Amino acid sequence: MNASTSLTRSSRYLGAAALVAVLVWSGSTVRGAGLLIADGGLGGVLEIQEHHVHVTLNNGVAVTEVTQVFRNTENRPVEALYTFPVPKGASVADFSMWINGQEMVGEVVEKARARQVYESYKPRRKDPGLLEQKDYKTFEMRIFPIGPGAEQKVRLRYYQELEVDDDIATYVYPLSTTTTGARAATAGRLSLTVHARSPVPIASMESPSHREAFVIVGHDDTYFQASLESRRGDLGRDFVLAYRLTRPRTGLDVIASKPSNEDGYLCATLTAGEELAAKRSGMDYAFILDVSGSMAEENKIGLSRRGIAAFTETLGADDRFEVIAFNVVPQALFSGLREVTAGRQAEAARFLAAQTAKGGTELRSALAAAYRLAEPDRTLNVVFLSDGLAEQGDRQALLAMIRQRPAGSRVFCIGVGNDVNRALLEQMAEDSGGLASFISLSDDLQRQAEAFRRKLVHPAASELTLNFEGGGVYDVEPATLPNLYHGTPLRIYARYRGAGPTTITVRGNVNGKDVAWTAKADLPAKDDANPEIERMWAWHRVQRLLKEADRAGSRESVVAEVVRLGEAYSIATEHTSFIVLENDGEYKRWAIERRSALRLQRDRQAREVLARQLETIRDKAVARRGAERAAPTLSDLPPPEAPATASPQTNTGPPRASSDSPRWNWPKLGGGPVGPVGVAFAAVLVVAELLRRRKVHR
Amino acid sequence: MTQAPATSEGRSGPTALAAGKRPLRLRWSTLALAAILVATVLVQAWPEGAAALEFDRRKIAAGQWWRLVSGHLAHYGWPHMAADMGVFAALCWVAERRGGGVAWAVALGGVAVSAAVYGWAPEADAYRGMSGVDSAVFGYLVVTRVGRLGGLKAAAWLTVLALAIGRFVFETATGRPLLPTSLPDDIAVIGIAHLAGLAAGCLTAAVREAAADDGTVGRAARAS
Repeated sequence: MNASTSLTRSSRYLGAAALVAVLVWSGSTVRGAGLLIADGGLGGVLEIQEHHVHVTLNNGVAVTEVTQVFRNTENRPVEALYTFPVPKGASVADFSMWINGQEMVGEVVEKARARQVYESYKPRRKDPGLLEQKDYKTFEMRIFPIGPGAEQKVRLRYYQELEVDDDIATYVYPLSTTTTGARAATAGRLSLTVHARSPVPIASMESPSHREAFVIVGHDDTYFQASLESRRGDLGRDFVLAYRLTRPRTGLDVIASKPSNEDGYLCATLTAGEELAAKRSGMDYAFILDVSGSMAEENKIGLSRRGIAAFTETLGADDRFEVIAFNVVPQALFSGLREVTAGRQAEAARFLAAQTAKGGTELRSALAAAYRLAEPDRTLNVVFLSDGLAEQGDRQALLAMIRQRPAGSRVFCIGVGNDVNRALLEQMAEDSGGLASFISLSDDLQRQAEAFRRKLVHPAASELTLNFEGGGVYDVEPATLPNLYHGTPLRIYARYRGAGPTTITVRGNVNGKDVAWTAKADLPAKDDANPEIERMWAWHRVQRLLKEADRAGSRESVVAEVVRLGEAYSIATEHTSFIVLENDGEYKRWAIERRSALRLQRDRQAREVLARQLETIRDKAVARRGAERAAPTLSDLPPPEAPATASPQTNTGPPRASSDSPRWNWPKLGGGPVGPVGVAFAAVLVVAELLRRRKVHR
Repeated sequence: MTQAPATSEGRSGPTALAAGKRPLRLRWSTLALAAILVATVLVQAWPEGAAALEFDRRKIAAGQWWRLVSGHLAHYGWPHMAADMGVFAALCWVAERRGGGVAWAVALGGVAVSAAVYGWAPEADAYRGMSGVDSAVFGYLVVTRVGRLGGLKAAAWLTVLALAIGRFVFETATGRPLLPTSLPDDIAVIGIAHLAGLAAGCLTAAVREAAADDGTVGRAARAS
């Protein structure tokens, strides 16, 4: 072999190897690019240097403050585009950027105008930032420019109602998403601190998603703190934290907020107790599993299958059930309702395991198949497990079908993961008198399934009406009260004109009997302790307007009011966005009022008061335990033992990962995790080699 | 070591057997691969074996560096182990018969897989399995065959390689398995391990073949 041939052969080998090496490198880049990308050019590499989350759970409201530092690793200025899922029921109330070392608070303006202002600055390389709700499931944050090698610090804060079910409260910090198709991790520190305050004593707290990564401390029985800190933290999974109260908080509670220069706001929380304690049995269930292609993302179908299996295991002997899988056509298991037996439960499990996600989503035909099961003398619970990613046209027809539903039927919707059409699933449930529930992929599915099941077997209070005596209460949200379910609080927001005593009465009907809940409250003339309920009132109003408009098929008539509420209460919606400009002069130039800055000042004062109260409790706990056993705060925590991520866990054991071991809940095919295809390929090679050997021997 | 006669592929190979029965000779690489197989079975049979030897990020950082290597011997149950080791044994046998030297791919593949999981899969606190090494042996076999075959046969091997790369890239990018497998739900896919193993195997074969062409590696050493 001459030298040139040898060189050519060597080059070919090395070239092939280099190609594979490049692919390996590009594979890792995809993973690292995550939710943060450099937009508007030929790409670029950005890092999330730090990601800090600070959460306060108080008065049934979760306030989440996220501070992030982005870093541009390129030698040119880039535009950062950071995409993150819309947290359930979240009202984004603050977006700030650090410009020239100073925090600049964003202002809310109409969406198109905000985009126009942002784009006008880009050619001048000033420092605008934009936060907008792209659609029902995604927020986008844009920052331009981030200079070569520079860092940019941003902060956002959002409010949401705390998810409470009976005696368990759950907080989810959503990160898992397929919006950009890849995961992200921090280059530096990731930290999450949760302060949970409750008027009912807290019995225990745990993280179903990151059980061992959190340090959880009970400073006293009304205040627990959870902290997590790691380097190179994984931003591809939700953080879930749940705490159990010593008893459910039942009855009717009222809190208020009253600025000095405008009417006040109140929030009444009603949770039923003994009124809904009786259990119902002998009901019919139609479990409908969405097996359309979109359910393959994030293993939604696998978890939904397990959810239905968990439900069917809890059914009673006098219940009947049917299982329907659907994509563009429904496929029923039994072709009718059947009594619950162990054999049928196993049959259902096999039927579900055989389903794979493919095809489109035709919700209407599946619902029609379920409604055909309805019988006049029995209650039919239609339990949908779907992501609701259906066509808009299908949506209108679907809602019309729900309005004409058979008597005694209700629709319950369960959405798994963050890429879920919450608006549609909530609307389906609300319009039928049912409930919608959304479960994080990182949460304990069994616990959530049991909680949901409790709502089905206990009666609901229906035909609720609300009455206020005194206080000049107006603009109540929700305008029409939904059914009240076991363990689920009903939150009512309203405005009031006059300070002084008021009596709130909620009346309803439980199994044909009238029930009533009454509470007396003294509405204050001034109260700055709970400003969050002002935004929650406005946010609920915006949501109601949008839902009503969607039912009618057009948002045109409500957009102006939604924009007015968004701007007045500093809320990012699908029609309003946050814009951050370099200085006060730039805001003046665009005639943008600094309303958010004023609100933020008031919010911060209230949060500082709460922070001082919590600090006092911590100090007392330290004194009680002695210095050596002081409850750790985040700053007290030792550095992580290793540069490890906060890892997700299930309830069944420690976290595990394998290159060939999926999260997927595939049917057991008998192959090893290398897979039947790999085993078959190896077998073919061996057989070929044996045949070749025999041939050579001959 | 005796030079084996050339085959129709222009390489030394198993046709040497046609000349008559050779005495059984166990090479060090064969013994090493057999030892890996036995060790893996023993680890699986020992109830705490897998947990004691798995790739555990925190424990590695705390000084238990051997877990970088021993993690490949640990599995998530007998089906997992059987599939991994079955494929491992089959590929190693074929690769050894078709040129030898596969122990290098096993060694380098093991290191590459561990390094990739440690460096590029920070979300993986723990890792078990030989499949990354299987990918290395597969890559080694493919590049070796492509180098010695021409025309359609080489194209067929390259197609298989391209399909494997496509699968692994998909799994790395999405975190989901492309083909059916059968492990518990709480086990995540770390596709980068397969890609790293494949790259290490291909690179090992390429360097080895290039060195053979340059004469720095004797052909007899590659004869089975």
